[in-house]
Amino acid sequence: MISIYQVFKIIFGLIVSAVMLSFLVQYSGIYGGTQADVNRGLILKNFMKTAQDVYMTGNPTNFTDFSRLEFDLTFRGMSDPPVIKSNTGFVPDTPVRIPLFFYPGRKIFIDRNYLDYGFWKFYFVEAVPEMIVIFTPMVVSDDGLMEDIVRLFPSTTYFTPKVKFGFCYEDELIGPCDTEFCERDEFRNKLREQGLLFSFPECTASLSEKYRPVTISNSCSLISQGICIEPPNTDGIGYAYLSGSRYLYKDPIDLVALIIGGEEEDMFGTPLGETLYKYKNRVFRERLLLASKIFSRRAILLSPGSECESDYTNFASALNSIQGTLSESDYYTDPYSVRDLLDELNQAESHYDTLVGKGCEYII
Amino acid sequence: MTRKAQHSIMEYILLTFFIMVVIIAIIFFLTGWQISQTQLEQEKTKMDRAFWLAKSFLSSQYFVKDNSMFDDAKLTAASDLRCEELEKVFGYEWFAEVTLLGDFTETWSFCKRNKNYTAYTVPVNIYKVTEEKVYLGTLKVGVYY
Repeated sequence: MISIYQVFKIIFGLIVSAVMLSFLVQYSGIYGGTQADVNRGLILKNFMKTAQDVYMTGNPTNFTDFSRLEFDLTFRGMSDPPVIKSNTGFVPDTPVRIPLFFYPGRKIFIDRNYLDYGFWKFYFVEAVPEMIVIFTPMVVSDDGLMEDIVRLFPSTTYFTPKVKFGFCYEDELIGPCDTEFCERDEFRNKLREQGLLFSFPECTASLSEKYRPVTISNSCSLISQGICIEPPNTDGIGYAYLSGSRYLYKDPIDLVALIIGGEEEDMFGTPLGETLYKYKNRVFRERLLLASKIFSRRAILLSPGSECESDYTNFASALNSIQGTLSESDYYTDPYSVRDLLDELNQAESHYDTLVGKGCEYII
Repeated sequence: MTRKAQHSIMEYILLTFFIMVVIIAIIFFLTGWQISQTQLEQEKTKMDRAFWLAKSFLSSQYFVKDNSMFDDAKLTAASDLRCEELEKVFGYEWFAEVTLLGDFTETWSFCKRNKNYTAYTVPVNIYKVTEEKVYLGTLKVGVYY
């Protein structure tokens, strides 16, 4: 027969155990969640540190830590400062202080590239997961445009994940390197050696997320898949189309930004390609403005009494014109401003070359 | 009999109390450790940023002729600019100071404010364009907090 005291012991034990257990379960849940968020924050911080090191040194590397935890990342290129935001857990936004074209993925390849304007180089970092860029050149004469685009993608030789290139002919994907898709330099060699012998029909293949279909056509109105590029005019300006919107391009990085971002939309319904395109033009403007201000002041300082006085004056004048053109933050949407900018950049480059040629300046 | 039962109940309550105290102590310890780790991480982030800014300055086309060799004309031109213009490229809450060491000292300051900071100082070369000579100097880069 159980005594009242034993009954009390059982009930008391059960109640106390239940209270302790629920408390511990709750706490371990909160602690586990916090720990995962702390680790997410550290991984994001390490990613930015790696990207900054690549920006500084130019040495490419891969980054695989995103595969260790669940991540849902958004790149907010138009916030001030630009940030990478984690939509999972409570992780502080990671500020991006270098020009970074980032597409989220579990394994990322990071490389640096640049555009050379003679007096100034625009360096940028590409951080991309496995990606296959599929070209459909519906215009025969434009392998130069393809070459310009491919040159600015990262070379992933000896690394994983890979960025590769191929063609699409109707519903068939073509790997030009012994039926395989090519890496950057192999693809460029193929383009140089063989060129484009005929124009391709529209790509109708159904492609998964890792593919980036790029059509080059004189008329993009009927192309519905991926990015469609109309060849540039004689000024080097053209239009690209993505998800029904039109984007003015003036250099291959505008196109690379659209291709890397692609059609996938963020939570506000904006294609990531559009975000990267706008972000590129924002950082390009900020950095070019700073360069033109510093270099024009420097030219004015060095000009008096110099044997290159008139060349310095011309160089400073071209740089001042660049500042004028870049005064509007949406300069990149106006074809006239863009044409003026390209013209001014060419003039500045030419004046700087003259200064270097006369021994008054050094090569950057 | 009643006394014995009361005594045993007290024992149980005391035992429960001590177990709870131990559990709460562990929780406090873990939370405290977590907070101290976060503070340590924030401190490390500041140092990392100052170090990265120093590396950025030493290789930035806006200031140098070659890696780790400043161009004095670029420094003079850049030091005339407003801090906000540099902050758009290098981020917020930092300063830099380049000092040419020699018979007469020359200093170029960027975004200097009267605030607490964490900073690095490194020796650098400074190229004087008009003299075509390289001088020794220091670069001090800091992050405000």
